[in-house]
Formats: sequence, C-alpha cells, structure tokens
Amino acid sequence: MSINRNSTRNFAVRALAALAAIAALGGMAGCDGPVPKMAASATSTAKTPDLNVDQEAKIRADILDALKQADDAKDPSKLAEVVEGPALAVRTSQLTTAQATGSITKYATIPSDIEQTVIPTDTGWPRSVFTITTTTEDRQTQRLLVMNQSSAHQNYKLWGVVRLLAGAQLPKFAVPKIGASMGHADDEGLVATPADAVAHYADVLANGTNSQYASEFADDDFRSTIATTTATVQQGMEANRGTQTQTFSAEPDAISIMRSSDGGDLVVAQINSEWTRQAGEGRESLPASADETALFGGATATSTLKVTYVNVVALYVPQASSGAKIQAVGAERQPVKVEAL
Amino acid sequence: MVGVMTDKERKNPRRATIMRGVVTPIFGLLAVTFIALGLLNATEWKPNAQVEATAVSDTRYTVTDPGLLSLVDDDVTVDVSSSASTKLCVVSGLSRDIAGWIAGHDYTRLTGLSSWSSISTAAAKATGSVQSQDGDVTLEQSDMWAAVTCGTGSVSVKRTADDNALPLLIDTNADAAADNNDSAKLTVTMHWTRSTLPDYATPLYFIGGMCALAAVLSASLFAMHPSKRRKKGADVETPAARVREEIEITIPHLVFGAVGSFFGAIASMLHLGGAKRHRRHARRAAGTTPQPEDTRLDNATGVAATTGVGGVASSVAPGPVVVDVGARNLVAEQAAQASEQATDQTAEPERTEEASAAETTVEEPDAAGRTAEKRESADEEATTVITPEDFAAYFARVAAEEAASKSGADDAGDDHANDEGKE
Repeated sequence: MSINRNSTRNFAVRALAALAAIAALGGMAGCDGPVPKMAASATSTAKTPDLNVDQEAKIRADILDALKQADDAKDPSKLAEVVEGPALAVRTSQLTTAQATGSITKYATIPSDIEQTVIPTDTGWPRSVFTITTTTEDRQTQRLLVMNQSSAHQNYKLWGVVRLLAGAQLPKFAVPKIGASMGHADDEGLVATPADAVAHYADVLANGTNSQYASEFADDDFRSTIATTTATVQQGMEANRGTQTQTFSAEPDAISIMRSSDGGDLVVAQINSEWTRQAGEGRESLPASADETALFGGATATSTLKVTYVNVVALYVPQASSGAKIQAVGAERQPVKVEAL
Repeated sequence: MVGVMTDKERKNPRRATIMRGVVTPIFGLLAVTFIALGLLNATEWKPNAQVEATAVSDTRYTVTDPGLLSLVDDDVTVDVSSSASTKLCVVSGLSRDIAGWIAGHDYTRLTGLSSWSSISTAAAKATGSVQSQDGDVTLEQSDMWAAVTCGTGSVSVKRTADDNALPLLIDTNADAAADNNDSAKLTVTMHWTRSTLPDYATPLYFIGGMCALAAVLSASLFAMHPSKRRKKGADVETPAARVREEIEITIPHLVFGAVGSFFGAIASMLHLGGAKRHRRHARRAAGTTPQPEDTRLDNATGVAATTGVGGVASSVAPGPVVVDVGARNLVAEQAAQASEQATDQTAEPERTEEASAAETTVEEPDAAGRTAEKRESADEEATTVITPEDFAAYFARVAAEEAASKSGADDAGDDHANDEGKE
C-alpha cells in the first residue's frame, strides 16, 4: 500500500515537473530572440573626410560645366552660382576680355582630369577642398583649384584657381580616403603664420629684394616676372619722365589653407595690387596689354592710368623646425579694372 | 514458496517497476517533447527572418542614429511616407553634415529598436541657429549627401553594407527654406532580412537526446539493484549468493540489524557463542558438519531467517545435513511464518536472548541481512561428504515419508521433526 502511495506521489511530482518544463518551453517557442541594441559608441569620434572622391568629382564636374557654359556664352553673369572669391574676379575679367578679343585666354583653361584631391576632415564651415589638375593639353602647368563651402546650405564653389609655377614642388597631402586637415590663418609652429606669410609676400612683390621679408622667401618665377616687368616699365617711364607705382596688399580673409602631411601649410590667398602709371610731359597713359585694353574699353585716356590686379598666390609655408623658406608654388595674376584717373 | 519470497521479490521488482514504469516513460515523454519542440522551432516557430519596424514622427526633420540602419542586418530597405503633399527627401550624409543642415531645428531621432516591430524615437533639437542666406540650395541640390532620394508622399531607399554606416536625414518639406518649420506626420518603416537567425532547435534536440538516453538508462541500468550492478565477481556466481544479493535494505532491516548487532556484540563479548562456534568449525573440518535447522531455512528463504524462524528453531542436531526438498511442507512453513511474522516485532528481543542462551550458532543478520554463518553453510552444502549412514538414513526416511504423505500433507511438519530426531 505504502509502495503504491509512494509511486503515485512520485509520479505526480514528476508529471508536474514535466508539465512545468513543457510549459516553460512553450513560452520559449516562437520567440524571435532579443532585440539588438545600439552600440554605445554609436557617435564615433573617428575623423572621416567631408567628401568622398566621387562627391568631389561630381562637385568639380558641376562647376566646370557651369564654367564652360559661361565661357561659351562669354557671359560673366552666369559665374556667380559656381564661382566666388578671387576666382570670380579673375574669371569675370577673363570673360570680359574675351568679349573684346573674341576668345578666352588660354590661361583660363581648367583640365577636367586631376592628379590629386585633398579633402579635409574638418567639421563646421567654411570648408575647403584642394584639387590639383593635370597639365593642360597645350602643356601648361597644372591648376590648383580651391573649392569652398561657406555654410551647410550652400554648395561648394570654385574660390581660387592658381596656375602652378614651372618646376614647383607641392607638399604631400593625406590621401582622400583618410582626409587632410584644414589649416588656420594663425597656425603656429611654422616659419610664419599663413596670414603673415601672405602679407610678407605682398611686401616682397612690392619691394623685391629690398623688402625686409625677402629673406623669408625662396626665389620663384612669379616674383621675378613681376620684378622684370616692373623694371621694363620703369625704363620706359624714365624715358618719358613718367612715374609708376605699384602697391600690393593682401585681401583680408581671402585665404584658404590646407595642412600637408609634413605639417606645413599650403596657403592660397588673394593679393590685390594697384599699378598706377603716370605719363610725363603731358602724354596720355594708355593700357599696356591686350587685357588692359579690353578692360579699359572706350574710356577716355588721361595722363594717369590705374590698373587693379587680382593676384592669387599659392605659398607653401613649412614648419619652423624644417629650416626651409616659404616657397611660392603657384600664382595667377589678372587685371580686373583699368581706369583713367 | 511464493509467499516466502514475496517480500524480497516485491522489493526488487519494485525498483524495476518504478524505473521502467514511471521514470522511463517520463524521460521518454520528455525526449519526445523536446525533440518535437526542436522540430517546431526549426520549422513552424522558426524566428521570422523578415523584420519590419516602424516609427512615426511629426517634425519636419527625422534623423536616424548612426548604426541604426545596420542594427539587424547590413541590407535595409527604408520606406518613408508623409501625410503632406510637399516634396519628401531621404538623404544619406555624415552626422556632422546633417547636424549642420538642420541646425536650430527640432527634429526626431530614430534611436534604435524598442521591439522587433517598432523603432524607438527621441525628440531633439539641433544646436546652432537657422541661417538662411542667398544662394542656399535645397536638400536635394546639396553637394554634401552621399545619396539623395526624393519623391512626393512616399519614398523608398535601400542601403547595403557599403553605405549603411551613414545616417539618414528625412525632410518632409524639402523644397522649403532652411528656416521653415512646417511639419507633417511621417511614417518610417525599416525592413531587414536577418541572415543569421537564433537557433533554438539544436539545444532542444540535444536536451531531447539526453532525455532519450536517460530513458534508456533508467529502463536498463538504473532498474537494476545498485549492488547487482556493482558486483560482477565470483562471489555472485552461486545461486545462493545471488539470492542474498537481491535482498534489499529496508528500514526494518536496518533497525533489526542494528539491534541484532548490538546484542550479537554483547553475546560475543560474553563469549557465549564463541566456544560453540569454534567447535562447530572444528567439526566442519572433520567432515561431519552439523547444519542447524534455522540456517537451512535461512538459505532457502533468506529473509525468513531474520524474521524469527531461526530464533524459534533452537534445537541443534549434530550430524550430516541432508537437504531434502521433498520433505519440506511449504504450505505449513508458510502458514507458520505468516503467524510469526505477525508477532515479529515484539518477539524479536526475547528471541535474541533465547538464541544467545541456547548457544545457537545463529548470528543475527548484519545490516545487509546476511550472516557469515550462512555464507559458510552455502559452501558446506556444495562440499558435504555424504556418508553411507547418511544414505541409509535418507532412504529409510524417504520410505517413511512415502507412507506418511499418504496419510496427509499436514503431517510433514512432524516428519520434519522426526528427521531431526533420527539424527
């Protein structure tokens, strides 16, 4: 009897346990598993380039397309959508000249292929992308394009175009996948801050070897060409008892800076210059070049002619510890206004 | 015979019965259940590979948190529908670009999955201020986005491992100026196909297999008595030994065994049985081994010896032992034993005293219900030398019993006594 009771109780207990186990399993059945959780470090601090190369190519292609349309129409008013800053001034002048001469200058050509693009990882605006094109079909040197985005709701615009100087050696930059870092006008640790370097270069352009900053800069073709031209004009002026003065000044805040792999800054900046020529002995002072003539148009000449130039220069400012000098690697010089005073 | 064996037989099979009748079916049932659950989990209840989660927002801008698009699987399809008839755009961009674009706006963050069918949301306000200026482009026209998809009413975009790292910005009013805050009800549904599903079937198969194994074991190995499982040596070979092995420990055994041992120990301390035992051993060596009646019974009935027969049968007759199965009146023995078993408990102490006083060689059973004496007697039976006198006595008795059995089966008990008397 007790045996029966025991086994009955045993069976009941085991049956209950089995049922409980099955019920527990039933609860598990059809489950989809735990919902995946978002990684805690979702907000990665890793720096990523602002653009990928495809985006850069598209931005550049859009700009070049718009430039081509403006070039074809010789209509500077179409430029503002895609061009700004010194590039807008230079290009407008080139198109205005083209209207007079019938064809746009060969220096305005921008190859569509590139050698390298430098994309920053910086947050915030404005942002700059530096792109170096190939040489042109007629064997001109490469162009350094600076495209700026001034705010989130604006698109990238062509801000500066610089023709590289023959034989100029550009610094190395981080590849686009990694991304470079934008420099600042007041970067320390360099031979000079970028802003100072531009101001000093303007002084050197104005004063040549007499400049107090002449020793900061290595020789370059741009500076020597201006010096040669100035000297030639000076000879003519002296023959006519005329005078000439040329001033250079850095345009405030017109500066774009990209840091290179070795820590130096590649600085692209606008330097305005005014060249005032006064003919002697009651003569008229006339435009000296085709560009100036086109810009001067049909205005009445007087004894004094003031030509305003926009110079865009690319300077490489090395680190102070490198012992190197500031090197101009590219430049563009375009008269934008010719007026008789 | 059946009656005598009942206790022992019941106990052994009881174990087997419980193991085979209760435990095995339970394990079997569990095994079947687990395997069935495993099968169901592998088929019918298989976790759904298709995940569809939805979120609703009512701000102009909705932004996915980084990592949301790849939360379930690399490939995701995002369906967006807006209640407004304005242009609806979905763009992929860097978090900082999105933050710059929506600067100063309230927006809805899609922060993760709150369940398999819903996306958790959070209200947020982008830092910065709304700045509208000439030349601003629309969301669709902006250069910053890696991908732009626009439409009216609803838009669907797909993202893969290549581009799911970039968060999505959804603008329900994409043609409006930057400082416009008009909003619409937006429904965002994300579809994933899970490539790796959790596997619940394999563990269930495993548990089912273990249960099946347990069922087989409980039907075979665990149904056997532990001592039987344990002993495989020569000791178990003789039938008598095997019978003893089958005696199971019961609580009465333990109680009586302990009490008996106690008294046995007292007896041996007083040298009450020691001398006799030695004498017996000597005689056994000489080949004329006496076999007490109680011990013989013990050998045949096992447990019966522990429950009183041995105590009662106190008369010890010297001479050779002849076990005559035919001479046993089993019915009578059974009846006697049944009555004695009834008085067992109360009789026990006296019996032991009696046994000690009578200087019998009966040893109280040890905890296992066995005595050294009995083991020895089993050996004796196999090696006893039968003398010619024994044979003569045997045949004479057979003849007498032939006659007696005719007069009535109940006389067998007397015959039994006579046998001893003759010797």
